[in-house]
Formats: sequence, C-alpha cells, structure tokens
Amino acid sequence: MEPVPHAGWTAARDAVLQAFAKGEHIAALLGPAGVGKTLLLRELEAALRARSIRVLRLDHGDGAEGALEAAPDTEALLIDEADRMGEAALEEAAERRGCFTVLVGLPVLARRIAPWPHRVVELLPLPAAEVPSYLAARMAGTGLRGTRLTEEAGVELAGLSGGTPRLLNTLLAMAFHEADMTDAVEVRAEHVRDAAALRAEMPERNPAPETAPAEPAPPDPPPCRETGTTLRAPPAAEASPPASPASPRTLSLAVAPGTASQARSRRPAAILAGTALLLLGGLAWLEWRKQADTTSPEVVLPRAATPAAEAERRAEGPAPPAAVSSKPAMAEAAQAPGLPDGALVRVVITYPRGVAEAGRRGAALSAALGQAGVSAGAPFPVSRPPTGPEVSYFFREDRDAALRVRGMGGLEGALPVLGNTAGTAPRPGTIEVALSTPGATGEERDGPLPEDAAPGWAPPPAVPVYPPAGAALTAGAASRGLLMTWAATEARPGCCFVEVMFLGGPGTPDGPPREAFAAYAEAPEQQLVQLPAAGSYAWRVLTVSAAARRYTASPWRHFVLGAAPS
Amino acid sequence: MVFLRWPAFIALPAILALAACQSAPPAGPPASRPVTRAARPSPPTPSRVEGAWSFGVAGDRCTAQVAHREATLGITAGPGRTVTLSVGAPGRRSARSTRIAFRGDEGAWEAQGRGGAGRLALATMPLDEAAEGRIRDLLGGGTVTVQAQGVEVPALGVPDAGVSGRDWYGCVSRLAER
Repeated sequence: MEPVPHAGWTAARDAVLQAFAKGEHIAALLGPAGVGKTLLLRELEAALRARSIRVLRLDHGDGAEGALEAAPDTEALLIDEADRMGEAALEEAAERRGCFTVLVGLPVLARRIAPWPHRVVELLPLPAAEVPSYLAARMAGTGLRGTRLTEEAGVELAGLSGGTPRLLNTLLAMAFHEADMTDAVEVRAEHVRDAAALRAEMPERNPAPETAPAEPAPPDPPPCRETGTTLRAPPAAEASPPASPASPRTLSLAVAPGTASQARSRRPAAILAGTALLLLGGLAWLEWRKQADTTSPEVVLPRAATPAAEAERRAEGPAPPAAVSSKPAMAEAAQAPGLPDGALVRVVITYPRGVAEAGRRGAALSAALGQAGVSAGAPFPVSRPPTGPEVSYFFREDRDAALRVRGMGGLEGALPVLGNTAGTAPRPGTIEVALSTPGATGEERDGPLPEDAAPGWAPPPAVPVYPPAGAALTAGAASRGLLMTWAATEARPGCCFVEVMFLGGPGTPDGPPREAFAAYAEAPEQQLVQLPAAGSYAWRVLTVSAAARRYTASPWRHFVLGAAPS
Repeated sequence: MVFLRWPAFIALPAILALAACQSAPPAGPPASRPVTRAARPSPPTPSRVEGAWSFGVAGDRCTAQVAHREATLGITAGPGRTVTLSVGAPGRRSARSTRIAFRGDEGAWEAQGRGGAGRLALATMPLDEAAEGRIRDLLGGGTVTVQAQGVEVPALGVPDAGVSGRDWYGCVSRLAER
C-alpha cells in the first residue's frame, strides 16, 4: 500500500531532499510514533536512488555500528530508529564526511544530535482539516468505497486518532468491518467508536518510546544478514525475560513511560498476554453485541467448539447459508484437519527448454504431486537448466517440505538446498524442482546459499484481528470483499503473507481444505480478499524475514462467510 | 615592580581555566556546513535499460511489474478474464496508437495498444491461452519495446522472473480457470 502523501508528508520529504541538494550533512527527521517516518524514509531512499545516489538504509539504529565501514562508498546514509543508536555509532555517522545522513527517530533524538550541525525536519500528525482528504485517498487506495463513510464518522476518526496516520488507517479498516459485520451500508460514527473500543483491547504492536532515548546503547543484536544495501537488524527483544501482562490501554500509539530497552523487553510477553486479552475482550464484546442487537441476526459469535465438535461439524458437512448464523461455528483451531502447520507448499517445476522428454517428465511430476495433494503448477521451460536435478527451498522452515517433495518426485539424488534468489523473495512454502537434461552439461547457475550453523532470527508472529475467531460474516461482507487485518510487531512492506483456506461450503463436495487466497499483503497490516464462495474458511498470517530466510505462522483463525447475494 | 607582576602572571592561567569551564553562551541554530560533493552530470537517455521484477496479488487481480526509472512494464491479470499490459516512461507523451513488442527466448509477439492517462501504451486482451502464453514469455525474459510515432522510449530489458515469477503465475492460472 502506497502511503498517502498529505501536505506535511510532502513538506517533510521536500525539506530532506532540499538538505541533500544543498550539500548539508545531517537531516534529522523527527516525529511521534505512527506518523509515517519509516514510510517516508523508504520514499526518500527511492528518490535518492532514482538520482543514482548510492544509498545505505538501516532499518534499526542499533545495527548501525560498523555498517558504514562495510559500505565505504555510501553517499547517503538513512537510519531508521536512530534513537536506538549507540553513542559510537551516532558519532561515526554524524562525523562522516562526504556522506549525507538522515537520522529518523522520536523527538527525543534532537537532544542527542545537538552537538552536530543538522537540519531538523518534523513530521507531525495530520491537522483535523486534512483528515477528510487523507481518508478519501486512503479509501481509494485500499479499495474501500468512500461513499460509505459518513461525515460524522470522519470527524470521529479524526478525533480518536489525533490525526496519527497509522491509527487512522487501523480505525478506518476496523470501522468498515464493524459496519460489514452488521450489514450496514453506511459506516457511521458508532462503528468508529466500536472499532476504537476493540482497538483499545489490542496489544500495542509497534511500541515506540516517547520519553527516554536509548542511553546507554542497547545490547548488541544477534547477527544480521546484509541484503543489497539494506541491513535489517532484529529487535533486541528476542531473549528478553517474560514480563507482566499488558493491561488494556487507551487509544494511543505511545507506550507507558519507561526506557526503550524496558519497553522492548516486554514486547513478546505483552503480545502474548495482549492477544489473550484481545480474544477474550473481542469475544465478550461480540457476545454483548449479539444480545444487545437482536435485529442483526447475521452477526453472531458462535460458541467455542472443541476439536471433537469441529470434527463432528465437518462430518456433518457445511451448513447451508440460512443456518450459518445460528449454527455453532468452529473453534479457533490450528489443529483442524488438513490445515498445515507450515506454509502451504507450492512446487514450481522447470525443465530445459526444447527438451521434450524433460517437459514430459515435468508434466508427469506435476500430476503426481497434484495427486498427492501438493500444489504444483504447469512446468516452465528455462534456458539455463542445472547440470543435474535440483530441489531448492527458500525459507529455512521449508526444508522438510523440500525433502518430502524430493521423495515424491523420485529425486533422491538431489539434496535440497537453500536456493538463492536475486530479486523478489518467493512466497513461504515455495519449493523449486529444476529438472535437467539427462547426460547434458548445463550452464552455471547461482549457487545455493550456505546453511548457517546458527539460523537467523525468526520474526515474531502476527496477531490476526479481523475477522475475529469464529465470526459469521454476512453475504454483504462477501460481496464487498473482506478486509483482513492483523497486528504485526514489525509492520513494514513485505512483512506479511496471508493465507486463506476454503474448508467447505454448500454445494461443494467434501475434500481437503484448499487454498482460496495466498499472497504477500499489499499493506503491512491489512489485505482485501474477495472470496466468492459461501462456506467455512480458515486464515492466518505468516510474518516473513526475507533477510534471515525465516517465517513464523500465526495460529489459524476460522470464520464462516454467508451466501453471496443472488 | 617585578613582584607586582607575579600575581597577575599566576592568576592569568587560573582565570583562563575558569573561563573555559563556563558554559558557552547560547547560540542560535547550528549552521549547516556544506559538504563537498562532486557534481553529477545528468546522464543521457539510454537506448536500453534493464528492469527488475516485482509481483503482487491485489483483490481479484494478479499484478507484476518490470521497473526501471526510464521505463516500466506493468502486467495486470483480472478482474475477470482480462489482461492488461502497460508501459510507462516518465516525461514521454502518449501517442494515440502504439504497439508493444516483445522478443525473448520463448518467442516474439506484438500487441496493439493505445495511449492512456499516465501511460505511454496500454494493451488489453482477454485472458485466454494466447494471453497466458504471452505472460509466460515475459516471465522467461527478453526485451520489450514500444513503437509509437514520434515517441522515443528505451528498450526495456526483462530479466528471467525466476522462481518468484513462476510461482506468481499460479495466480494467473487460477484466474484463467474460473
């Protein structure tokens, strides 16, 4: 999802680029959490690269030390979360000559960079007068119908969000779903307030300290992998001790006062505890809604079911649409039959171009995998086949799947390797089977990546939010498309991969769950999905670290979609 | 008189030391020091540029892009059974009638296009076997050119889309099967 370039955003962008054009050395891009500093930094990176400037962008300040030494020809250094930089790294960046440096952080960063000449560029929340135009652009960009949002709802959104774009985006998406769940055509102020109430129950996904800077420097992060000129350092919270559960907070993107390291050390436990609170709170809230509004029978909260009940439900077959609302739906169940723990496996088969025998073998392999329940597309001819058959996987979690595919394909001689991809990362679960010409010598290809003895950092799981576990959605929601939302600790472009499985529905034969949607999310925390068939679904989000070649799956969440309008 | 000069001689360093310990008077905003950076002459428009692939799935559409700052090729399959190829080139005006041509290892073809808002060339076709074949050709790599009267656009080198592109093609296949 492209950011919405409001006036303050554009002014900040222009100011930083102007600083660069004038030959200034340091620009400090400062602003509170959620105003879009990270997205602006990425836009600045693109603008500088378009001018053929050698750019080094660091996503976390605490991974900055020594980074410049690794890339001595850098002309523009962009550092996100610069308030997490250690003193040595900050000094190294600030005093480097011949390099334009953009330091991005919370306003407290200003004090730490005071010793060096710099330009301060502030990115602030939207003024109330600009919120309507921002919302209109946002809705247009996310496929939401802008005419559904009433003026009062817009005012409510502006007030509750304080003009913070991240909060605006979240509340907007949630308010639309509130409306969808009651089959309301208009998204009204009450939907915004309901969304805000539920939002207040959510754990803080991306807490950013507003108070103390990270002094002294935080502990060294685990090793990170370099990808092009972008270094991604993992958050320092991985090995943190558990902390007390987070209490429901008011509508804010800020965390309670404390040091940055304390805040981050609480993150994993807070997410787990917050998830429980979210689910309990959401269930209670929805139950209350059900009792309070008997005129909206479409939106009900099914009773929690046990795995046995779920199996019984599946044995009975899917409920007809008329009974969807009243029939207990399935529980939140990662253990539902047929749903995988790992990513959905999809096999890509290639064969040497012009070799008919290899093409036939590829087609036979695709058919055999399909019969075994593994998704495999039609084989692709390639110009640069390997010298011998190869089986590659692209995320460390997929190695076992690659071994299974090798066995199914009769490719015992091919040891699965962690494949190398120069461009866009494949989706999680991708296995590539590259067939070769028997007896022929192929051209040299990119070699596999070495298997690390200590695999990199696995990203924390996302917390699915909408649709909530066990929800029964109306036909109206189906026809408009379903805007799925979740909370990710590191919400960034390409962070999240969404999987939706169709479990069964009226008029569909019983069978294993099948893929209804699977793709990298367009926005870090939401995805519009169109599901044409009524029935039962399960969905989840995989958080992906392309640098570490790791992913983490959230639990499956179930929902029932009503019949499409006739 | 010499003995009178001794206290001053002793006191002077002390006074200087004390003065050094005092905080500096508040100054205005620190002035920006210009950094010497070699001027870069703007490069001439190349005759061929090499793009890079990216892929997405948006609602009921499968989208892919081969992008370079001088020229961009967009592929959109859906909604429904339609495929749109678009070529954009910043600063170039669109012509009424254009032709998008592809040459690659997989084959060669041309698609009749038209100028569009913000796009140099736009070609829409039904999502049938021929269109699927063209998408597969593009994923295999080659060169895309735009033929339009009075418009000069660099040829866009399309790299092999690799495993990510071949996996993305599954999205197109599903649309075609509907």
